[in-house]
Amino acid sequence: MAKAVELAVEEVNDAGGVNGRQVKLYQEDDATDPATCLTAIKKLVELNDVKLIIGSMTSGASMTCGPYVAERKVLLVSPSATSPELTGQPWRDYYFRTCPSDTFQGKVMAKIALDEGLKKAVILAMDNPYGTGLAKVIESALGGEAEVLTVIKYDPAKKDYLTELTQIKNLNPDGVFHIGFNDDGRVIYQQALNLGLDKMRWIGCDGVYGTGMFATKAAAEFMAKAMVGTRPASPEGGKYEEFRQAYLAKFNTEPEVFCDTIYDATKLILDACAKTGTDDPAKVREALLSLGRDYEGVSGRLTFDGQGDRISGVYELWAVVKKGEEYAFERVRLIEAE
Amino acid sequence: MGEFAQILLNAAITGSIYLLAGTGLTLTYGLLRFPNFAYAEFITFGGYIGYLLLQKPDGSLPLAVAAAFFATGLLSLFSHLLCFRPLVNRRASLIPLMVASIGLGYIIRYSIGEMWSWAALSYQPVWQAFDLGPVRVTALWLYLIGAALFTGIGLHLLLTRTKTGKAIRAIAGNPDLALVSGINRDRITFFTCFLGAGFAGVAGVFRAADTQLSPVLGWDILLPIFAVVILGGIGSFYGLIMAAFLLGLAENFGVILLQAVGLSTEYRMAIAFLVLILVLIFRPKGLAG
Repeated sequence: MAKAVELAVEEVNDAGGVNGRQVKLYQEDDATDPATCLTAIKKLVELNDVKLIIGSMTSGASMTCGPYVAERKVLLVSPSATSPELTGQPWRDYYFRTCPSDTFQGKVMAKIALDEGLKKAVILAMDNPYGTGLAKVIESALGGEAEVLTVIKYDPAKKDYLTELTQIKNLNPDGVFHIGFNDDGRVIYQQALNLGLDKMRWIGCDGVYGTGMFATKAAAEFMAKAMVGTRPASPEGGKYEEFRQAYLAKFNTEPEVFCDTIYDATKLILDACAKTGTDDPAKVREALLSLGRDYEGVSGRLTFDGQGDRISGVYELWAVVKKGEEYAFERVRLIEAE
Repeated sequence: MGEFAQILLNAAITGSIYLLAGTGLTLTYGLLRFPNFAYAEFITFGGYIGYLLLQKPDGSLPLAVAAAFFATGLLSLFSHLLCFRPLVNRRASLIPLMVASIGLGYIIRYSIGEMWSWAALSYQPVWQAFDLGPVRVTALWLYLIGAALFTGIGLHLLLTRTKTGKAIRAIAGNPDLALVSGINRDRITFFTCFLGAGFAGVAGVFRAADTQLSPVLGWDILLPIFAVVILGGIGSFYGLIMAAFLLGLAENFGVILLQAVGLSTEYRMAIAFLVLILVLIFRPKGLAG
């Protein structure tokens, strides 16, 4: 992801920099760990006198670093912290995010269920902020159009879900929303196949996306039979395609997930500096709020709400297909959520 | 009604794993008078031996079970000879033996992690599933319950009908009297160490087949297994059978209860222990005590 920042900074510097000066980029690794991230940010702020930071990469690290940056009045723009719990935090004045909150993913998941005409659903969610957060959003987005029979919260470390799945079997819903990760997902799908739960529609999320799922053959078979799912995606064509070509030319590899939102974060910050003629975080913050209205970014159209949360997102609807003896994820279509 | 049947089947699956895994623990406690924590890793080790044969989709489960039984039995025999027997001969008390077993467990666990990787692995066969009336069963579950029944009946016959079995009971009941009546305690202990750990290895294969394989496979279920062993009255095989299915039932109905009140199912262990505490208040020596 850092490569996309280098690309953006290089483009700006090649065009003469910002306010007549070249942009200097400092890099620290937050290791997606809250404590490491806070140490890294403190170093950047105290030692390197940095005022504008792209990060934190995860929601957990954002929770830890948010209060610190608010107190020091330095600006943090995250390209990848998606938890709905970050919305409405008291320290949000100096924290933006260019990725959509999972709220939108939950809405998309609910919409898929309603489009398929599902009437009775069960939500199976891991018991952590990601799982319970998405579960709440899905339940409210269904808005009574489909009945939620029950919400089952489970321990992702337990790795035996036969009883939970038996309950689903007994409730006999048309569909199951599952919010989990790869490790617990593999066991759940294997056991769900054993229980014959592949006859109902399963709707997954970005946490269960990944070829790691196919390490368990029964899980792969189950996903091909019963599942579709969502994940944040980059738009197709337009500005994203220009970015992709530039990225390919410079690094000789495809941009990964969140490379587009981190590129937009970088460009937005630098545009805001140019607009205000300063790098003062308080002024850059104001400029970001006004720039972030229908901004045409490489990650699609971007608008911030009053606290710096993005109010729309692009998601992919995926399915699993069997090709010969191999399994693969396939894009069904892109869905824009607002 | 059908709902009830599926839950009973789940309880039987959970209970069968606990029974297989707890057998060795309770039998060796009867002989050596210490809880052997390395049993967690004996279970895991069995799972990995099974993986050698079941990493291909056409692997044979019976062969994997047999291999896990013998390999784990041998591992336990070696650990008895190299670690526990010298300690017992030096009249080590409960705590040093227990700590030694925890240490041995760590050695085995980390060796497995280094040899096979710490990431979770999966057995490759996909088990055939079919509907028996309202109940969904897989071939794997039938094998598992069959193995537990076979173990239960086989051990009952062993303990009541054979000289070796009677000797095991004699030592567990009164070690000094058994010694003076000419029972070869070493030979009986070797036999029990091998047999008990063999069953734990088999439990590992079934657990890994039903979920997935990782170096903490056994450690993750050691707590409920201890609960089963204590609930049954540690050292008592018949109490163990009752306790295994009682705890299986408690966990499975517990999940439904938790869910009904909106709690996460991760509290299921708490329910199992609630049952344990209640039973121990009224029957301090366990079900068989």
